[in-house]
Amino acid sequence: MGLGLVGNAFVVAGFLLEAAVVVSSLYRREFIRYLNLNIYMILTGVADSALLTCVEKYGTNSHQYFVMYYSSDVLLGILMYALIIELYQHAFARMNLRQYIRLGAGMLLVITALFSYVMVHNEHQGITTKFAVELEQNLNFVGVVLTYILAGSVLKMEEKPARLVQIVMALGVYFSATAGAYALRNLFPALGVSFVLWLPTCAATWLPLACAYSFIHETRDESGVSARQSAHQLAVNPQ
Amino acid sequence: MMAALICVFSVGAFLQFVMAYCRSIVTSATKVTLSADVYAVARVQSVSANDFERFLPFMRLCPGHRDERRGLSAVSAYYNVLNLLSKAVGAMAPGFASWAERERQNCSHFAAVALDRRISYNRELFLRQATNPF
Repeated sequence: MGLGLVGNAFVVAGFLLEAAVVVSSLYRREFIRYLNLNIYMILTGVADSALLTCVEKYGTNSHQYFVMYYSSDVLLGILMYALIIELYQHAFARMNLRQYIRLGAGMLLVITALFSYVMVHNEHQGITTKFAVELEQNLNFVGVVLTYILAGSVLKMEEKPARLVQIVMALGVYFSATAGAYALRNLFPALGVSFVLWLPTCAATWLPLACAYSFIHETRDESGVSARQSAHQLAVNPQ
Repeated sequence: MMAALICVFSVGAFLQFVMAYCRSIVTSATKVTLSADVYAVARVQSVSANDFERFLPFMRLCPGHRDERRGLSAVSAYYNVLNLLSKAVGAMAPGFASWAERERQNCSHFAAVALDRRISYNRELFLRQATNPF
């Protein structure tokens, strides 16, 4: 059984948008500044391709697809922590807190890993759907809390870098939608066939869409720039 | 219990993040200065909170760059939510009503900036075509 027309459309759209983020950040010369974001986008594209191959070979009901889906999701979730750390470093760049941020993030990662290990250890039947859903819910919820604190700090800054604000808010939308969807699935397992199943997929497509938008569009809105100047830039260079 | 708490917190955070994202898009346009063209086209002296819908028909007439449209749909949704909320709770909370009014004005400014860009973009393309048709 395949992903269906809608599922395939989401995967293809996600892949194209992830490529758009990488290309546009290279074009804006921000690839290194947002290195973890770009690595995340590249690896998500690779994971999407691997998942599609897995679906073609084994189908969506196979054990291979199940393991592939959740293991890639958890690994990308860990990479997402690295992305949040990068955004924290940008937000607190002037305060010279790099060491403390890395230490705090490292400790958080260890605590999350230990928590997950305890959950796996207590789960006698191995990796079941219920366990995977619960783990995803917890990982994404930590993401929500971290992004919430980051968003509060970014909004308190005197000079708010527009791109950073947009990426942080987009990340918050992604995490909260995903954590909420998994929590709903956990609360009401019967909802598994309805829209709740599609929410994480929609959120996963939303993130590269919002990031691509901020890279393609945002730099033209610096202070003092007139609409006419930005339109001239667009007409001269429509990329 | 844990799942229910996570669900409630996530839904609340989701709504706040969506609003903050739309605000960040709208705020990015507030620093952009408008040209006289946009005032002349829309026949307005200044941009007010209710002008958002006035600019939309002109934008439909004026083709724009593709990435302009994405931001506009998010801001359009934000404007409609603000309209709905200010009608629902504006009378009970005057502080909220004035905040919503300011936000709606920023949305209208965003639409005016987008229209201004479209006018200038089309003019620029037309001039380039006229000077170098091949």
